[in-house]
Amino acid sequence: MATYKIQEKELQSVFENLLKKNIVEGIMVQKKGEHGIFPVLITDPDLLEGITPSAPLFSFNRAVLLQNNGCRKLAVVVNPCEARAINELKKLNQIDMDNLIVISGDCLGTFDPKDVQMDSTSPENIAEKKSELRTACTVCEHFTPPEVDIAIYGIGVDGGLVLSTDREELLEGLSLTPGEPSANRDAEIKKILDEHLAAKEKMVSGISETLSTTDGTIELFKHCIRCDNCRDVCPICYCKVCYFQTPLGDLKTDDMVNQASIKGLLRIPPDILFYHLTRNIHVAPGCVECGACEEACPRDIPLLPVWKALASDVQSIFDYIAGMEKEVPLPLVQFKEDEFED
Amino acid sequence: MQDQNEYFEHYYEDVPLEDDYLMLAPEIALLEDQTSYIESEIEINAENAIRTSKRKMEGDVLVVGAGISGMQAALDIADKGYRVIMLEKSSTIGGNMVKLDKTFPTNDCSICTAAPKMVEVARHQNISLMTYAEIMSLKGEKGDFTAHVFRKTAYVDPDKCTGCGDCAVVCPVEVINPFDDKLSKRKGIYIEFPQAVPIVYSINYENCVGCGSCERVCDAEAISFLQKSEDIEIKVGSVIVATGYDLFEPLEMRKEYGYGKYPNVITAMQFERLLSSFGPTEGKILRPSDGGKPESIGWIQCVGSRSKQLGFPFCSRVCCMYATKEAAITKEMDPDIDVTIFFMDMRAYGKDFQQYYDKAMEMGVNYIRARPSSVYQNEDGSIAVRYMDTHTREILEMNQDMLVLSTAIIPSKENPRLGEVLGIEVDNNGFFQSGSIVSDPIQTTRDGVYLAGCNQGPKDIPDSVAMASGAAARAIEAIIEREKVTPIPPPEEKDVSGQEPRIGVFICHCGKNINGFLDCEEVAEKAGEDGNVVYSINSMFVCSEDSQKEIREKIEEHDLNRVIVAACSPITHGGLFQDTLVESGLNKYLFEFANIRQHCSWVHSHDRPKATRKAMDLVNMAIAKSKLLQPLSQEEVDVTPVVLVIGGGVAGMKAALALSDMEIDTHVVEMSDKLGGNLNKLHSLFPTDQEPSELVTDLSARIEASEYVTVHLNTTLEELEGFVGNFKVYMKGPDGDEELEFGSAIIASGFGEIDMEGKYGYGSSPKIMTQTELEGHFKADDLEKPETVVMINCAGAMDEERPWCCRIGCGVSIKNAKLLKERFPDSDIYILYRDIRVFGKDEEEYFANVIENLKVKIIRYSEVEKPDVAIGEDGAITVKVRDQVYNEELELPADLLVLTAQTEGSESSVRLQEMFKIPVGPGHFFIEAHAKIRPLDLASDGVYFCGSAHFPKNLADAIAQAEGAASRAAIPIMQGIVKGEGITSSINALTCSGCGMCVEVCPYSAITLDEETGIAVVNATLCKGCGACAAACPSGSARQRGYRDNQILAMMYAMG
Amino acid sequence: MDEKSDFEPRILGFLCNWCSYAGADLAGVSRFQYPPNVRIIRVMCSSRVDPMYIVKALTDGIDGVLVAGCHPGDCHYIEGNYRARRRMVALDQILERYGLKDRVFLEWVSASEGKRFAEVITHVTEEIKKLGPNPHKKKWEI
Repeated sequence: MATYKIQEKELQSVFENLLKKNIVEGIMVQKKGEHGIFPVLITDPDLLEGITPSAPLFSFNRAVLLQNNGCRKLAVVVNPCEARAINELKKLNQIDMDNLIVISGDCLGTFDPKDVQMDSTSPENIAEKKSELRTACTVCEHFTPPEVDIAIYGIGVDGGLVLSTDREELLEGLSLTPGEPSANRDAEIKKILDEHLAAKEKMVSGISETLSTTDGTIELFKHCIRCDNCRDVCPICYCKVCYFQTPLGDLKTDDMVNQASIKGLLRIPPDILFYHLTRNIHVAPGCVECGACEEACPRDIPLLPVWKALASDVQSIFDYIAGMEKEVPLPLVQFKEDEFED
Repeated sequence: MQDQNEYFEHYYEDVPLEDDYLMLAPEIALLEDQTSYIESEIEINAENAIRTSKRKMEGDVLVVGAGISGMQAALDIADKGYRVIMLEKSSTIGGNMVKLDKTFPTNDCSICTAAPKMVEVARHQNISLMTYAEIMSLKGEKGDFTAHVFRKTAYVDPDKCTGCGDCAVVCPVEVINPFDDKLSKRKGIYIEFPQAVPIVYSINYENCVGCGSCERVCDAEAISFLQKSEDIEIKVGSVIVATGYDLFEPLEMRKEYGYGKYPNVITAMQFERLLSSFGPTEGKILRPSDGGKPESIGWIQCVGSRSKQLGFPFCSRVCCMYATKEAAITKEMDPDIDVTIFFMDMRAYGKDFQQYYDKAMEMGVNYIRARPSSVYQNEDGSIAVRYMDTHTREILEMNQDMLVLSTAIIPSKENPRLGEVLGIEVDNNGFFQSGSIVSDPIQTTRDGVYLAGCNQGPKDIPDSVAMASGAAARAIEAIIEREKVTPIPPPEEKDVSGQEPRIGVFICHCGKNINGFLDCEEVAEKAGEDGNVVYSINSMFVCSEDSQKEIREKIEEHDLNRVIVAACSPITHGGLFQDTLVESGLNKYLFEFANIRQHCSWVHSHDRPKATRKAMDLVNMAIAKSKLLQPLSQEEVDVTPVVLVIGGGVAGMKAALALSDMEIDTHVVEMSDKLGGNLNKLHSLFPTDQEPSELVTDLSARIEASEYVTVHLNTTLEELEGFVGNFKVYMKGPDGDEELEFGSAIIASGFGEIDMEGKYGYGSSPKIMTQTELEGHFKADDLEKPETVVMINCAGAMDEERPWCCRIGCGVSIKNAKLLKERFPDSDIYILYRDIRVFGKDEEEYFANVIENLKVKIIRYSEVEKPDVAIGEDGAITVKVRDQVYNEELELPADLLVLTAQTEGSESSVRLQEMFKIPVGPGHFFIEAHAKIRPLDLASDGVYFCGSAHFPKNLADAIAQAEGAASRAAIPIMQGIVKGEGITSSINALTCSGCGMCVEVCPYSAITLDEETGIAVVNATLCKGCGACAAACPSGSARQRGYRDNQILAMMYAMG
Repeated sequence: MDEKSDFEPRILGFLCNWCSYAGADLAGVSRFQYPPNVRIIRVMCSSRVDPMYIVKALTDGIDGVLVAGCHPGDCHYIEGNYRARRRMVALDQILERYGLKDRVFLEWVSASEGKRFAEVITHVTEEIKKLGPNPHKKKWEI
């Protein structure tokens, strides 16, 4: 593991190097344009000028774009939650890591681009605009990069950033100064984490109360129109064809009449709770808690708290954190003979 | 409490026992003895009563005895396409195994593993099963035997009996139940246990008072006192004797332990029945004297074994482990019960046994090394056990609320008679004599007659099963030229695809068994309301032969394309109705069962309306699924008729020869430059002192002479592809690369001593060597006379790193001690040991002789204080050891220090594991598909193993396994095709994302991701139809045929 | 309270073919009585039970679901019950939040445990009776 001290501006040269040496064909990164900062895919090294890799924005989880990435070599600069989704998708054979270089840095929180002015989107402004941070970020437990090709540390670094990688071949030809984060990095991380954990606990206890009664559950989901947005933006919902798009799950008028005739009445759209619970079963073991689903919901259903509660419930019993490591197998494809015995 | 007491019937002077089987025609006995005083409405016609019926049957192999060994042998032969006639003396198959609660070392439920095998035997079209039958004579010779069999009438027509048990309720006769080992009573008309196969009631004429109550109550009219016993003449080519064993009854000999005198002294088999959920106490451990909960239970080992004066001289092999198992289960059920085992040597010699024993100790099972001298009963009914403390030599007493005697496996008392009938010899213990106890355990003294299981010597279940497969292989030789059974092709299957479901529903009354507790007519009417049900009827016995005819007629008449039977259980009767469908040209998967007897009428017999309602729902669910049923086909693949044997040691050679005898092309691949394996390194064999070179030379010559066996020496396997039926291997040999296609494989990759470097001074002195190296010196005859020899057993064994027992070391050390003593009579020889584990036939006797007559000294050391080896500057070796028996520190000078080294599987195991996708356990030994009933099969189909690739073993066991593996490997070859399951999984390629969850959860490696498309693909031949993949797939792309999402959901919607 | 005492729960049972279904058969042969509320669906292995079925059943208003398989170590398909156990444990975590966990049972019943099967069904039925009807049954219907 090599670590280097680096200024944000120099990141550009790191990316340039990757493109010029043909290590990758393109780089997915954020860039400032006339109407704001947007994720872009850059193949021409000359167009790297003006990139804002650290801009604290999250419009959607870009891991969904990388599913079935094929054989074109790319580097992606993503938030930790996106990087975790990428690692998770790797385990599900949905992403070919051989063709992907994942670059991710410490994340102090992100804004929803529709909520903030574009000029305020630099990490320095986060402290001032804390109340405008995306909810998911305020309860985030994994704001440092998971296992990635190149990690960029900002927390506990005196002036600038620290770049860390065990793939030094990616940095060949660059003259970088070795350097490490300061000794109080861990303490600083802990401080943020404690704050987030407290917020999370509050969020989870709130949702627990809601879900614990049937009425609460119904209130929560009753306006769902089964638009599938939450599913479509979810990086962990990787199925090419969802169960709810197959004849069994996607009820046609005929089916609905048949079902209605069993009880005399069928609430439509049908199977709202079944739909959400099924997503819960499928996604909870791998949920990276990015919050994209909640933001995609046209009916403002507070999905994030639900996932916040369920993901840690399920992952913690298997001693698993989604996407943190590339090689740890998915919890539901393994077992121990002497577990959960009672 | 009074009630509990009734469970236990310990005293049985007045009650006739089923064991007292008399070979007399019951009719005659009845006429002669009983008719004078029985009151029966049945007039026994003197003419009818005389045995006149004479039936003739022809088969290929006769199997005598239907315990686990007999069943395995029969299935192995029948699966190869030959006809088996199977005789069983009692009314059910299954033998002793089904009496056991759980089996060591996996704690598998015994009946769960045995029952499917029993059903398979009963339904196998090549097996004719005769219960209540005994062999009376065997004439002729190998290839052409004529057996006379007497089949006692059970007064019940097996074709009519539905197993409902109404008869037993009314039967006034109560007799001791031998199945519960005399702990309970059963009726005069009976089935041995609820899962009995065939599930047909029987009357033992000795017990019957002829009152006729059963006959009057039987709606199926299955009981007829006019039914005659039969004399049957059977022609076969070979005979397998699998008649099992008896358990020692400590009534006369060993009566000092109070069995039969004190109620709280029971045998281990009785304890098994107490543990069993379908035993007399429904699995509760209760004290026989008062039905109370015991606070302490003791076991005494070696009751009837390891003693010439007070039983039998041999070790009974299984008692250490079953006692450990029983004690551990007791502890698991109730940690407050104190459990103590009094033992002499802990013979935890088998695979995972030592670990099991270690675990039992951890659980708190108390082991005391002592052979108690006597016991007496205290006033409170508890038992005081007297024994001598091995350290202090003090006589101690310990009270036990219950005392369990681990009684020995002994030869059946029938053996002398049976030996005479079969023309085979019985050995001096009373077991059947083998061709050779080390090199031909399966052969009897008569050509064409083979042995399986414990009638040749005490054995554990997997050893019996392996031997049974071996006997099956040997029995084929004489009949190999015979034509195999060609199954009668069923009528052509009707194409029902695209048809609207036309369902026929048949509701069974089962006499009163169903209709008595729910309204079958209403159920049938309700079923008829469904739009797709075109025929619905309730009838008395749907399983009867005339009902099958009716079903066939109705299929024809109403053009039915789905059939539902609502009756008993698909497990027992599903196959029967499926056959009926097939006879009518319907695919058997268009059948659906509703279990309204076992799951409804019998368990809700006090609430007729609710039971009726539930039955309607169950039928409705079956209808819902039935509408979605589709015809399924079973994948068939042709088989390359070649077997690959990996390893040319004795196991590999024996397997190859057994295959050769079955005229199967066999290729033996051996890494080294000659056949013989470890035997080439040995000087002589335990316990016969036979020279292995004779055996190797003999086997090599036979392999050389065989036209079916090709040997590849100096050859290694490089790469493997394919699966059962059609494998292809790339090999590297002396003449370059070779390719070989084969249908099945036997792994006989053997074992070796571990690297002893650094242990007990090994490597630092030429006078320190392993047993194998010592054998080398014997062979070279270059040993100088040592003054003192020390052998350290369990060197590198049974410790944290390698917790297993090497199984063979004790025997080897004793044999080599004897050899040294014979060469150097004045030398002192010490064997330092932890337990003396000589468990096989004649081994105990050999051991006793070496100790008593050759004065080899044995010193027990403990696992916590292992011997210490010091080498002085002059090279002198001193072994320091604490004698655990006398608790004193000894210093032994050693001119020669021999280490009995721990063993482990071949280094090639890891590569073979990857190639064949088979699991490897501790010590590089392969893990069998099932520890008890599939000991020779590996998890991958078509791959079998034998010998020490499984676990270290002595020659006899290795050979029995080798011949068994040959039998297993021959099955796909002789069948010519490999047939998959119908209910396999398939993948919807259009919706599959290729995530691989299904691949990961498949226990049979039947699913792979296509290299090109990334989509999952199922190999239908390997798929066993568990459906794990279907549940793992989030998108519903993995589907299990016959258990598809839509079918299961439809049942859910229909459940009412 | 009255509603509860008249309440006859509808319970769905998934039994594996080799152990639990055979155990249910044995309960029948042994005539062990138990409440008539369970409807059995036979599957080959407990690992066939997709958690989705359970969720579907509960959201459709079925009052309780039982999944029964071979004891750990006894699986006919080597390891299916271990997989079933993991899935059910994960499902439990989710259902717990929704207050539905107590309606789902995972039990091991062997082919020899007829008595135990009857006890399991009795226990499950009693527990569900105590909980009362599945509230989702009516409430989602407006």
